[in-house]
Amino acid sequence: MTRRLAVLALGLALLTGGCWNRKETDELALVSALGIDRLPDGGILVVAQIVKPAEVRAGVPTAVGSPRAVSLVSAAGPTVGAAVRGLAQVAGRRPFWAHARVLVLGAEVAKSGLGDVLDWFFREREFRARVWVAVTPGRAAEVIAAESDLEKIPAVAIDNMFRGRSILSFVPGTNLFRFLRDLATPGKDPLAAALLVVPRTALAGFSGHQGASGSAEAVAGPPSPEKEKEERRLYLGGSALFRGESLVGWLDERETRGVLWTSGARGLVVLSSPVVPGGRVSVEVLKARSSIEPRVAQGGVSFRVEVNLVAALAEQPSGVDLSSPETLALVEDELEKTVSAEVLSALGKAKSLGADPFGLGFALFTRDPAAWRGLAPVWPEHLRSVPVAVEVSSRVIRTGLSLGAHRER
Amino acid sequence: MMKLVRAIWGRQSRRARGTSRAGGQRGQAVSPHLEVNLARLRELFGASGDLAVRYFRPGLAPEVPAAVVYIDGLVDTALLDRHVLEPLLRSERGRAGLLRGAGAALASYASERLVSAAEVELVTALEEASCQLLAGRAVVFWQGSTAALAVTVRGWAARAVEEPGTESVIRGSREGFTEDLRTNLALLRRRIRSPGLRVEYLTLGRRTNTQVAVVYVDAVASPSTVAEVKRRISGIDIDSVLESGYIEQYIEDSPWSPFATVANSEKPDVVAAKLLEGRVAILVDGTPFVLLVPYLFIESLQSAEDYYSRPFYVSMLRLIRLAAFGVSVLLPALYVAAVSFHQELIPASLAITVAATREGTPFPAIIEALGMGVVFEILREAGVRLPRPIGQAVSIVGALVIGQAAVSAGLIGSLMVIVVALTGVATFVVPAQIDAGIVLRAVYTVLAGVFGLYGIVLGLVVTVAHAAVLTSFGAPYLSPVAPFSRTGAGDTIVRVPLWTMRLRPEALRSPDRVRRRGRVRVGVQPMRGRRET
Repeated sequence: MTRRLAVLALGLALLTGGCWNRKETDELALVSALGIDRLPDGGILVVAQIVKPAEVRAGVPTAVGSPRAVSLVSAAGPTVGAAVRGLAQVAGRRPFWAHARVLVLGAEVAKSGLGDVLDWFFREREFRARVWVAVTPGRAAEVIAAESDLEKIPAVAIDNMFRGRSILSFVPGTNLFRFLRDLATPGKDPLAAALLVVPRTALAGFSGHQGASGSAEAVAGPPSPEKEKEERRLYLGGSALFRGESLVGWLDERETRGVLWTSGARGLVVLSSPVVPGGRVSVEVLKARSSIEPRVAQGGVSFRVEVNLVAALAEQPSGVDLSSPETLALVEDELEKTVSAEVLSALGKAKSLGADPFGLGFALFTRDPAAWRGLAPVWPEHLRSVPVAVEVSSRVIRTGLSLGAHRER
Repeated sequence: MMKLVRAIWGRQSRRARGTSRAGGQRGQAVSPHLEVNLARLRELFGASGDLAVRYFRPGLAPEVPAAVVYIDGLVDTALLDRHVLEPLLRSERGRAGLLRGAGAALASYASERLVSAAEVELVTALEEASCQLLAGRAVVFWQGSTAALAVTVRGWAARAVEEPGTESVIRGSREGFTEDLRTNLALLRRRIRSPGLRVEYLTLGRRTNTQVAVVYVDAVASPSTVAEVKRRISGIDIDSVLESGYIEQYIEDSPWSPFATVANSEKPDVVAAKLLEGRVAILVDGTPFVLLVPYLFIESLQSAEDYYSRPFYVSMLRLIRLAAFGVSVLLPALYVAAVSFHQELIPASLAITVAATREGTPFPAIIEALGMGVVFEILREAGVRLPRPIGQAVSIVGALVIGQAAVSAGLIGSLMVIVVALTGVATFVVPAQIDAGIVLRAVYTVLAGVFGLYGIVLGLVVTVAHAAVLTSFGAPYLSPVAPFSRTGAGDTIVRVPLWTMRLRPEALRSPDRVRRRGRVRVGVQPMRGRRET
């Protein structure tokens, strides 16, 4: 009897667990991208890009005038949580976050500090830490509303841009996990990708010259409203630099890569000055190893940043045989110069803003925690004057088999 | 001579034991009066129209009336003419004086000197005589004789040895068992030409008196298994045995388990191979399906052809069969769980596709899955029961129309149709586990619909725990996987080359485990340097 009761109790206990929250797929609104903006009154505006599965599947390419594959829904509230709840009411379906790919933060909300915004993302278990985090100089809503030519779901286009970032390494691959990790790491400030809406005809490139103001003025003037939809497109490049939770400035693409060299960037580098007559040589960096060495001496702290590159020749304009050791050494020298210039320019801007995307402080923390504890409260100020030496070494391991036969007569 | 008589009498007494256990009322001896015997037989058979009686006067004693009794349709009348009537009628009168008044002597004289059929038996009880009649023998009665002579002139309509409908192979024997027990035994004897192949007859079924043969290879089968099989079979006391399935359900270890613990096969080569591994076969007259015990789960993934082909592709096939079994049991459940509980588990682009197919469908996924499962079973059942050409048409039309129309009408999602179709097809990859697979699939689907993945895992835990404690005639059901056997593992999800299978399966506890002695393989001399001219 006791045994039977025990079995019954165990059986019932097993059945009480489990997934009580059945939710049919057709009752869900699959969110592909989420944008967050700060309203002038300090409230939060969330804009969600919701996939319309039937339109995605419709097969025929979306001609002009055909229904969009995504629907935009926005809601406002005093906090992110409240606004998101409002979203559910507007959308008519329960938003489903697990398949969101991009989180876009507007410049205003980033500048005013993300502390109150990010808490919701910590708590909502459906929201994945793999979602890409991007900051836009303007309003996030504009980015969420922008369309893509190739992808029916614009968020997929952004996702693809992020995935393909290593061809140039002009943009950091910040997802929510890395962003939050950098935020929580002592002596390191997070960097987030910059995502812009630019006129279709504009040349690629994010200057980042707005500096700390972060306004969208660098983006060419607003197009005529009626043509707005066709004439604007998404552009991913450069990065937003944070100090703690707040956006303090922008790095252009080369500066961004300057930071990324210390965290394993790859991709094509066009050498800054010609090595051989006839034009500029490009190399493909295959591997970058780096280390940051803090030195604590009587006079204070100094750092030494070392970058070690392995590269292959990617493009050369002249018929000169670069495979000889002497010319190859020239290429290597030039590569080192180019890369160290990028690192130094990034370092210069970061130091001037008092932000530490390289994690110099973290390197000090791991090497000499006591010294870090003394410096931590004044680190942003201290950073402005801290001496940093940059050493770049490189090795070009492949020149390819093409000897320029097409130039020989 | 005496030997023969003793053999005949020995057989008779054994048969008598069998019938007495089967419930025939004994006691009435064969009367010396011919008409009394015939009247009693007619009474016993209720004057059935197919009980034929042919009066005659034997040539050696024309003054003694005699009769041949047989059941029309069970005997070959040509054989009866040639081997019974003709010798008896044409026999020379002579030594009649010696025979007169000694009826029993007449019968034995006839059996020894006159009747030229191979199988004859002297019968002294009427019940015995009726049994012989029902077994397809002709019984000869003489006036004044208290012994009757049963002569085997069996000859009834029987199916020839054909290729069986189940377990088809591309390579290997095409022969299949028939409904005739003797033919089946002969098929086995032809494959195992060894006196070690033992056949033990039993008679089962109080009314059907069905012949059952327990077959094993002496010194290869475990004696305890053989004894257990005989013990369980002899414990059966039922009215009728029309198919081996009757016996299977009486002797299986766990009648409430979804898993079968008794195997069946229609192919003599399969049965021979299993006998030689140390298993025991149970052949039942009237069915081509032979039972085999002990049965292990892994056997359901094995096919006769696996051992006839080279091992590489076969090993892949084993994996595919295992995967197909997994699909057939779990796919609808996983789909239901993913679609109604764990949308985050589906890759993002697939999730959109799934959502698109589910858009606007009226029922929750669990109802779709169960409903389509039922529809599939209906189509299958209709296809099986109808005559083959109509059956195929019905299932094709039904599947196309119902599947296509239900999707285009927006009743069900098109992915669900794919899931159900794939599941349905996968079910037939492992035919031995169709019963268990379909039952488990339904249970898992319901669990998935109520509890999601948690329910599936719960169900799997219970199922695996249950299968792990199952035994079949003393062999652990999941052997050689659990308990693990290193020698047996070579014939599970991979099939190692035959020449490395040195030992018989451990779980069968064969007294002679070594299958192969001596060298692995005769070495092949390299042909190097032997090129001619």
